[in-house]
Amino acid sequence: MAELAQSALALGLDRECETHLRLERLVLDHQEALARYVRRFLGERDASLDVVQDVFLAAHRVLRADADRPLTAGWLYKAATNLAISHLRRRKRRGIAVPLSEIGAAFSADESTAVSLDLQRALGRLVPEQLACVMLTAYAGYSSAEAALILGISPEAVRQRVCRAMRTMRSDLRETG
Amino acid sequence: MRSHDYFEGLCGAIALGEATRYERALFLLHARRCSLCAQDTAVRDGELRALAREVRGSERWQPTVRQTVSVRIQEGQARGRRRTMQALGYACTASLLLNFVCSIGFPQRLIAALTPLPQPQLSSVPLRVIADVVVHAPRVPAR
Repeated sequence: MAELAQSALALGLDRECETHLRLERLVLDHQEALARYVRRFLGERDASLDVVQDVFLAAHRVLRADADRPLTAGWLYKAATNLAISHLRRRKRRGIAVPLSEIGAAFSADESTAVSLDLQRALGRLVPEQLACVMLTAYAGYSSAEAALILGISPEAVRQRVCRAMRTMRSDLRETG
Repeated sequence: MRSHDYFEGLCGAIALGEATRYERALFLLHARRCSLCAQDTAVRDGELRALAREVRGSERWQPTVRQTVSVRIQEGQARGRRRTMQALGYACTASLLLNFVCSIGFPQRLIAALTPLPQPQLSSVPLRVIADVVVHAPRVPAR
């Protein structure tokens, strides 16, 4: 992106250059956290990288349209959550289930803790709406009010979904021991 | 009387560590009467966040998408330029074609061909039959 910024500057496109520099900062600041977040969401590594790229491309489009618009981490998480939910729904519609071995492979190369894999398995059982609430509040660290703003629902609905998700996860973790 | 959904919300708030002591006490009071919520009484304050924190702490994956995003932006821009040029090309071709067609006078001929002929009109004056009476000379037999 620095190269793109330089070429834009050479062409005298100051706004374009500014857009590229802002996007580069966004990417450098958030790419890791966002990719891990989406990987937890989907349980797949390659798909999560695709989603993260799409998020930054969407950010680029927004910045090109309005260079002064402030793009926060919340905006990125919102876009990532929406894209991840769409991906999950598409996967479900096509009847594609990610095998446990693949989930294991997506995580075991980096994290070998049993808790991590158990949690991933339990998260995989949740419906996308509940998963989004759990991921935004527990994993990304947003409060229920912030998560509600991101998801466009009420804070009470977020807490309820977290409670129901916890019940599902607890029964799943109990089954697996 | 508060609905069951309200207490589920309280349970979620406890799991996230957002509930006050009063809300926790309220939930425990409800859980005594509700079999579904009774199993949630063991939820510790901020339990879910603590679990997620533990998991996040163990993550070591450091992906980088900077280069790929950059390439995709360049590809997108190139595609945009290509489409613009294509559209420009189509527009020029269409313009030339239109110009040629106009120059050979095709539109005028087309208009003339498509213009309907005037409808025949009947005169309102009553028609008159004029009969000429031709008087022939009487035939005379040949001698």
